[in-house]
Amino acid sequence: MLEVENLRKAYGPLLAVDDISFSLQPGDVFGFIGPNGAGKTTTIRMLTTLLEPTAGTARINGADIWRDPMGVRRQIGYMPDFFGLYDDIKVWEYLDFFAAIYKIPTSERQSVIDNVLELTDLSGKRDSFVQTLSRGMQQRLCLAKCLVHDPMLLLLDEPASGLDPRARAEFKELVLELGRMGKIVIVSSHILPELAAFCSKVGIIERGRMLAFGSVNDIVKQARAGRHVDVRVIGELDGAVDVIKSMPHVLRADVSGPSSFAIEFSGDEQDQAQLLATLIDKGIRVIDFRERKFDLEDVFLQVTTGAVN
Amino acid sequence: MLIETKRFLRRFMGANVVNNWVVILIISSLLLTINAMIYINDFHFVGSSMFALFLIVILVPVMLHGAIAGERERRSWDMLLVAPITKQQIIAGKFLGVASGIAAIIAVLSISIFASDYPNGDRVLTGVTVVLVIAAFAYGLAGFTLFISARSRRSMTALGVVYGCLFLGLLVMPMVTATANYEQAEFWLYLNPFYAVSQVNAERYVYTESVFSGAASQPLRNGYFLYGVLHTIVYFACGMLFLYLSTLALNSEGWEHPGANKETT
Ligand SMILES: Nc1ncnc2c1ncn2[C@@H]1O[C@H](COP(=O)(O)OP(=O)(O)O)[C@@H](O)[C@H]1O
Ligand SMILES: [Mg+2]
Repeated sequence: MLEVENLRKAYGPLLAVDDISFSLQPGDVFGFIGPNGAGKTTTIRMLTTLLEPTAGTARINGADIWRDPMGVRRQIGYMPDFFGLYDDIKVWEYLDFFAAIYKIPTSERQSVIDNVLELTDLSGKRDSFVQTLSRGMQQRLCLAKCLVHDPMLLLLDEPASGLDPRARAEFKELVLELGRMGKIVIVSSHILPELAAFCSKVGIIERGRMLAFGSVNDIVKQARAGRHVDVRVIGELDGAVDVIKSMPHVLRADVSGPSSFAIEFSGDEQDQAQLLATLIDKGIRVIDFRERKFDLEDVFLQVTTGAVN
Repeated sequence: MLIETKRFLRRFMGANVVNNWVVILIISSLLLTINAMIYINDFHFVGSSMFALFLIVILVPVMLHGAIAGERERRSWDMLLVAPITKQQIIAGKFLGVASGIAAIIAVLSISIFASDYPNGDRVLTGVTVVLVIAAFAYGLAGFTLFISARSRRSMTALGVVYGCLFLGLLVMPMVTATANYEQAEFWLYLNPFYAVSQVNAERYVYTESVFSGAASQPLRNGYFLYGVLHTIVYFACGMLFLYLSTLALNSEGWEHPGANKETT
């Protein structure tokens, strides 16, 4: 498992990563979401031992990034946000090179290479030159390279950027497969919908701070403690709002349009039904009474603009 | 890490093979012409060994300038750095990959060196010494190029710096010091392999009947064989020192703009 403790990175006065802590279990696919410059790459690079943290630490299966960097490196596969492959080299040679670096015994290399090529759907490109591959294929080759030593933790920094929708979908499948294989996969992105759908855990980071962490459902619940209902009425709007404001559990009620208002309240479904019943009892002509459903996207926008927390 | 050799061979034998060899041929024939003009009378071994040195001076930086800076530029460097290998292993791999190529070049060049005329006999001893000096210089230069490459963010910068240093150290400094102060000129010349290979021969003149009137008064020259051996040791040692220094410079950034690679996509 991966444990991150109070990780921090300062560039002069700028705190690129500010006291981040979380932990992940095998099988977790973790979506690391935040706008550009939020500190995703910095965090990931500290986990890879490429960048020295200002403070804090992280452990991968007990291997500490400070005390046992080689132990960490043996267990991770890292795909940088921008990467290049070697020219003048064939796909299998590229993988063989890294298999050698990761000290895979010569006798096993052949089957290891075949396996990762199969997994990344590149078997047909075995003898092609690396520079002839498309962007999506290079991405997959880089992932194949990350897998030759069967790492515990995969760190994929913005893997979907620069891929067409089809390649994205394939990549997503691949990441899910890796999760099913029991690996920890960290995928970063600045585009939320890309990740929300398939990650088992999500972390939202902005300006170096982890604003939310957990499963998608948990985060939505956490950020949205109450229920939100949009109401549209015919006739006197202010009277309707006054009626609602006098009800129990109602936290606020604001006019949101010429004939509509929004209610935020902390009750359950029973109370919600009671709201509607009361409005009708008081003779207010309701034409729309609808609970607003929130998804991670709304939470993301709210959290990162500081509306919540 | 045989892969470096393979890539190198592909680059020079592969797709744009014609371009590469045309360039090498042009350079070679140019140098040969210059040599022929200097040693007009016979195929003197100083001529062929200087030709070999010229080729080394031009080719070794080309072979190695991108070894590390090029990986930074291509952004393949981080993937190598996160592998569980030490910095020494990375440097050794890079160096050994090119070392075999250098050995091949020197092997080919030494044919012409051994086939040259040795007006005062002793072809084997002089020839071996000259080849040793050239090989040691080649490896020393390889170490230096790798060091510069390890400290640069761009491979072209590394190439420029290496050629610049060679130009300064082998040409400008000896000339400037020679006009200003003879003692220092001797030092710069002593470091200069072009001078060294000619000295191996000059010493033979000192030993047999001296042709240089001032030669006997110079204490450094107490035997042509020792002269070359010392160069061999010094060049090799410098190469090793630079390899060691390279291992200290293997960060992922390079020296030009630390922290300048903040990409904003
Ligand atoms: N080498 C560096 N020197 C100074 N500041 C840096 C450096 N690298 C990153 N930063 C700053 O740290 C912050 C986080 O950057 P980064 O981790 O790359 O963000 P993300 O990957 O989430 O887009 C940014 O404000 C960036 O400008
Ligand atoms: Mg980034």
